[in-house]
Amino acid sequence: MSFRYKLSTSSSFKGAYTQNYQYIHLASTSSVSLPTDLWVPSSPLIKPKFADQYALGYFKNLNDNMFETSIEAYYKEMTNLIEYKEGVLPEDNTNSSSDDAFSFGDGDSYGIELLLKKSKGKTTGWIGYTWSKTTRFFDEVNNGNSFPAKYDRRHDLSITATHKYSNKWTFSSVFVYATGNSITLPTERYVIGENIYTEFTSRNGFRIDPYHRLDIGATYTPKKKKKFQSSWNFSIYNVYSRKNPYFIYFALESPEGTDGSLVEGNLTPKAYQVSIFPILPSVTWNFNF
Amino acid sequence: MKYNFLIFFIICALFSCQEEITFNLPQAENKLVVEGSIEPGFPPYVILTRNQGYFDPIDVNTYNDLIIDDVDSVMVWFFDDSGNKVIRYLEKVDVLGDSLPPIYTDLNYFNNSMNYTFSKENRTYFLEIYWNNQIISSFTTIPKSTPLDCLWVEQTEVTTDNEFKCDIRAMYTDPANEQNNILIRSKRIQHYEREDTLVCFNENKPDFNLKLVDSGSDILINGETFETYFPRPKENGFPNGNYNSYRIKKCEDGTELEFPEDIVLIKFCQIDEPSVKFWRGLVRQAGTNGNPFAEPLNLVSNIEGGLGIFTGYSPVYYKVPVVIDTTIFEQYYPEISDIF
Repeated sequence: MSFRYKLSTSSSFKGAYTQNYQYIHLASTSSVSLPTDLWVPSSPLIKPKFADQYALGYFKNLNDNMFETSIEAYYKEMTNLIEYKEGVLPEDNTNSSSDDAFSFGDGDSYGIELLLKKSKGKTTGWIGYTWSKTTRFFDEVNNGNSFPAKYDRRHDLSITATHKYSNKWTFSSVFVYATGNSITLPTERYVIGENIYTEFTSRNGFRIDPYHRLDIGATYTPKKKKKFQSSWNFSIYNVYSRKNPYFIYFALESPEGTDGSLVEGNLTPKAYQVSIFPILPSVTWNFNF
Repeated sequence: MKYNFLIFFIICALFSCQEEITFNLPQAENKLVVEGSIEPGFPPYVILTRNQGYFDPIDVNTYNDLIIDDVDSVMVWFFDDSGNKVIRYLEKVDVLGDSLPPIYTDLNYFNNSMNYTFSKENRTYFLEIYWNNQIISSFTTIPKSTPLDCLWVEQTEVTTDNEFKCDIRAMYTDPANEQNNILIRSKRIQHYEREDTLVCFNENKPDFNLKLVDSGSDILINGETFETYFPRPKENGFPNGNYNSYRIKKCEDGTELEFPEDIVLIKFCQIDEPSVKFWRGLVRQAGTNGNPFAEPLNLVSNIEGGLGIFTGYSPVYYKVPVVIDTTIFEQYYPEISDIF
């Protein structure tokens, strides 16, 4: 259900209310920022996810529609969400009922989206910024206290620009910034009956480093031939070779060839971050016929 | 030159890097870790250590630094029928040796162990520890004990060279209409191993203490009679091992060496609900064994102002010689050294 209220030829209010059912669920481990998310179908135990979403926005075009601006707020309530139970391994009961690995709860999400877009002229592009908060409520997780979703992203910024320098050359750039994922971090250890046990932060209680990168590109389009048209694109991904966290893991390392133990005092606690895609130049040839 | 681009891209892909990182975490709060126990007929005891930050260095001094032996006082009490506190002060005993934590226990037991009536079933006990200007407290209830129907020794599924491997299995009838929370520990009180020296001989190397096998509630088996088995806990705390029956092995010089069977002490306990939450979590954490894919789990402690657990056990003990097709019905009545 949606509406638009036109204030003038260049401005309007828009609102929407939607109800959605989703029949697959994203299940993510929270211990380390590993890309091990699973999509889990609904089952007799896992009910379809349900969401109510409300959105309201103000839209205005400026300077003879050269600029488009908007500000939009949303609120979303979700039920029948899933999270892994505390202490389970994703492969637990895979031969019987893997659904038993999940806890069920609710969540909500709200935020504001700002957009400034230039769609006319030699230079075009947009700036988009979103502030949002996504929270989960599960009786069996985090002692029943609310906690941020793994992909709760407080700030999300995108800036794109394209400049048509001539009929042959076009330059472009993209900058993106996003708050880091939230993970559950080990904070302390202790010994019970000769074995080491770990205490963690609250569920998703720690933010890893933010993700950001700048890409630039140039496209050369030679004169159109009779039978086909081609173009060359030269681009550099992640210009300043930002080491964005792809995943993070923890290890109690021992000297080579030994298991190590707390009693022997030969363990070293370490955290590692794996990053992929540093600076990546590329050349692409496109042709149409 | 024609391969330069290819090499460049491969280098880029391979240069996705892994680097050690540090986290700006607040210093872990200094907490007392309590491992407290009380069971009928025996004195309560507690083992005290402290926690350590996850990223704190671990060196040869770390383990000793974690041992706490300077508490101001440890006491356990219950309220008698008149509502009066019956208190026992626990004192430090270095029974385990210098390199292991001392035990705090009630020395009155050693004066008249036959008539020790402080710890009984169906009674709630309170623990209070004064340490480092802090009061750390807890309470637990010793429930009613429930015996196993019987235990027996069965040969493990046979493959080459493991005909002597056995499992200990048991039949249990869960009492209906009451919630039971079960905890099982075991230790080999006789276990022979071959010594790797020039002379071929074997040596009895029993387990030092009881190790946790499993813990859980009777939610799924309330009122049922069912068969179960007790795997041997391994060094990493995860129970998936077997026991050895009598066997003969050949030494390198051709002589044969006899190995007597393992003798296993099984401690089958009822515990209260807060305790089962802790011990169940501990079994789960041991099962994940540092697997980075495991979902984190904080152990649910019943210690106010600290970590760990104070558990009232209501056990029945069984002594099981690992001889194939042996069935045990009788309980074993333990000595003080058996309860650890």
